[in-house]
Amino acid sequence: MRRILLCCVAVLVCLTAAGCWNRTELDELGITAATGFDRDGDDWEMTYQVIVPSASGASQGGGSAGGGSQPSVYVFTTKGKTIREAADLGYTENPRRLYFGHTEILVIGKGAAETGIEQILDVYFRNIDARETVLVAVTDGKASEILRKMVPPEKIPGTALAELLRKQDNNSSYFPVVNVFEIAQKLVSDAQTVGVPEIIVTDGNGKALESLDVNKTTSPPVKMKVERLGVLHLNRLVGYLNRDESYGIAWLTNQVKGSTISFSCSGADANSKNGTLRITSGKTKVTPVRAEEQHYNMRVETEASGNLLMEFMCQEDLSKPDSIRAIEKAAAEEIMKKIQMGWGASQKLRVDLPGFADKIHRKDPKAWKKLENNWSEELSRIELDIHVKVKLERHGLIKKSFDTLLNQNSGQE
Amino acid sequence: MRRVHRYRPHLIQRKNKTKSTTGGLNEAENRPINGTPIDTVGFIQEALGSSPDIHIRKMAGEKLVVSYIDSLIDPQLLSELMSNLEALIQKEVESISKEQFADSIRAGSVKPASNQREMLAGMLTGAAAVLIDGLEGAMLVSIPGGARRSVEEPSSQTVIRGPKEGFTEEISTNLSLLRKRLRAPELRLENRVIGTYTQTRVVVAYIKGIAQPSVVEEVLKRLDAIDTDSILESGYIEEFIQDRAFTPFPTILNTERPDTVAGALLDGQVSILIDGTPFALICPVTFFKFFLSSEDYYQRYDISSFLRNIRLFSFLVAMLLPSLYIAVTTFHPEMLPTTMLISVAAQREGTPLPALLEAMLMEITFEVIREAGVRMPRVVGPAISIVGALVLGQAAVQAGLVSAVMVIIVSFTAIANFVIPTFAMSAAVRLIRFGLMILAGTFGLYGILSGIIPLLMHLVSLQSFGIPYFLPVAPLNGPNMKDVFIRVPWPKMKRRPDFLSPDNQVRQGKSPKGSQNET
Repeated sequence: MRRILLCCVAVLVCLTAAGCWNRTELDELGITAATGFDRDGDDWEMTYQVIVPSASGASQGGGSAGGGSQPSVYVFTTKGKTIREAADLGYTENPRRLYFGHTEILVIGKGAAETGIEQILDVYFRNIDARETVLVAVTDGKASEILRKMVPPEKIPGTALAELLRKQDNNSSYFPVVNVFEIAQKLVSDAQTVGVPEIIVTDGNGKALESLDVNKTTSPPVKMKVERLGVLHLNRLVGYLNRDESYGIAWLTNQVKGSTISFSCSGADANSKNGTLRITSGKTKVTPVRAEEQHYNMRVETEASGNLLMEFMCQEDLSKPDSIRAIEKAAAEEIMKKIQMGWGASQKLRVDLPGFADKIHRKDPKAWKKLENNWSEELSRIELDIHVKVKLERHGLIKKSFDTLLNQNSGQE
Repeated sequence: MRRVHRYRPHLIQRKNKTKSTTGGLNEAENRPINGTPIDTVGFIQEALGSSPDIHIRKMAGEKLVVSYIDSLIDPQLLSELMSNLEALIQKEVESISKEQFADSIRAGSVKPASNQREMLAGMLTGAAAVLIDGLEGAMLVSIPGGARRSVEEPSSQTVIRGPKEGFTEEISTNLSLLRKRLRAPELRLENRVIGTYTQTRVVVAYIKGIAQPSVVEEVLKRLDAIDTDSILESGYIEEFIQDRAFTPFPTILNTERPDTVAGALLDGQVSILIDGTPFALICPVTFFKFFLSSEDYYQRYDISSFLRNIRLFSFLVAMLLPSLYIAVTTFHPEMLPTTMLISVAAQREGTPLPALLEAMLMEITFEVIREAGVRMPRVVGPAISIVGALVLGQAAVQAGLVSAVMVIIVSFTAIANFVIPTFAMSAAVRLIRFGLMILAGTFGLYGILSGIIPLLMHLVSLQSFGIPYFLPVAPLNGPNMKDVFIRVPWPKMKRRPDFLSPDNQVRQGKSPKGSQNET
């Protein structure tokens, strides 16, 4: 009996001494789907997209399938000298405890991105309630504008934007996604540079996306899309890369997960593309090659296995290995061109987007010590030696292109 | 494996400090029967009173007296006995010996009783006492009868494939059911009579050479130590002989299936059959035995292995699901996928009670419905299901009192609870569940863990007749794992569990090769 009592006491002491935080019922939580950071002069402007569960999930009591008249998110903005101050001011206008555990996307407005994002990183890493795996996007205007918009037909815009970033990353790899953790990691590395996708609202009446009425049309007048790759260097936004350049950087940094490459037939005009290859896996290895005493060039070896020809309008006979090889070569050249484009753009911004600095540092720490001081100068001298190998594994369900078939028939007549 | 007996007869010691039970046959005097039959009849009338079912028949001019209790004998056998006795009277009665008497009675087995107590005990178990002038003592002719139920399908432990016979309240029937399954000369039955008033026959069954003699001895020792006035059901015995009283977990298995008992005996376990109840006890048992159904051995091994794991999973669900729900929704919402969180949050919106209270309310409601289902007359059965399912489930959700998720959680918990094959174990889970829910409601997952860890410590510290309760998992015992989470096919189950029968291990000899592996 004594032993049991002692056990009970021990358990009780353990339970109470450990000090867990308070419980919160689910209906007291303001589940934040997206947060936005803006600057207004010296103040931080925080924007929260809070999910209204009753409007977005299966609501109580059956009947209506939830939502309909009420938007599924509620967006509000607070201002403060620091981020946490702004966040806490949220309690003056929002009855629920803001909860960031399920935040999917973090949008940084132009003002905030240009003044510096180190404060945001600090808040994210210091607090337990925010996850470092949140995806990050920048925008050319205000983040609050992005958060206020709906993404029809999705229910929760924050989740939809995050999904948008992820889907394009997986299927086309134009703009590699980054989360808060990766940004911090890359900004403190030797290259000190990271690319962040930019979300824009297309031209037109943006207000239309802020009302539920947008669900009543089949094609909303404006929409949100991923447009460019914002380049953060040190702590601020320094410029943008367009889609092709960003795509090149994706190849160069081994971030291609799946994509398509359009190429032109052998002998045809380089600008007219008439074949498409689906890339299912791409792998790039970058090795610094010493060129002079204090100078390195980069050897880029890319292996892409594009396994399926998706579109083909050339004359070649696909049953011959030679023609397959020609296609592979054409696709490889395209990739090479993209890589060069990306690297060129990075050089123009005088930043090291592909992270060559870390490669050199790792390979030759002594040389890096000397290169470090005028790295941006050195960057412009680095040349790429690109080798791309593409492997075409399957040619789809038909062998000859319809172009060939049509020509044959017309020749017989 | 070394077995250590940790049996501490504290229960019995405490009993000895108080008075021992009185009444019943213990009071009957041990005086020899040596008077005339009429004297003895006087004693019988004094001892049994003038109940209407006590009959005394005088024959051959009071030289031969037959006495029996009408409600305990079989009338047909009685009439046969009477005709036997008539025939006897025609011949010589005065100088008959006990052997001659026994030989001339066809109605039932004959046993002499030398003292009054023996005679009363015989009469109370369904024998007619024949008193003959000149013959010392009484002759007990066993002609038992009385109300009995026929062998039916067990109602509490049903199987799809397997024998449909279940034990009845009659111990002789039960023993025959058992003997029919184990036609081995080694099957031993030890008889005990417990309960001063009930004089209940308790039979300990084991297979000599398979069961450990020390366990058998221990069982008999604990049975002999019981000093009580009544044994009406196996539960009485279970509570008297179990190793530890303060535990929610049963350490003795009960079953109404003769095939389960036979299988247990073949594993080296000991069974206790009790007169007056269809439930037999099996000991020693380990924790995992409570999740087995006898059907596991009759179905194909793959499906029965799967079902076993389903049962263990259900055990965890029944114990943990409501508390996990409470912990995750109130303390750790980040553990749910976003969409799920939103849909749960949407349902929580507008429900008046906190998650813990809501869960408590629903669980208690369910326990009430369940108890009502057991207690109510069969005729009103459908009413309960309507009230339970419609009023308390759907209507409560529509009224906004509880969330739909909670109803799902409670229902799944309840269903999972029914999957556990032994009722005693599922009852234990029901109790533990409430404790864990309170812990989860106050401390979240941390609370659940701080409840489960002591529980596990308690489980591994339990013993059943000196055998660790968590065998063969803790202490880990590889060769015996063949019949725990998976049941290997019979030809591969070459040995008995060595912690139950260390001396006789071989279960399967060398079967011809073709029967094991088709080539």
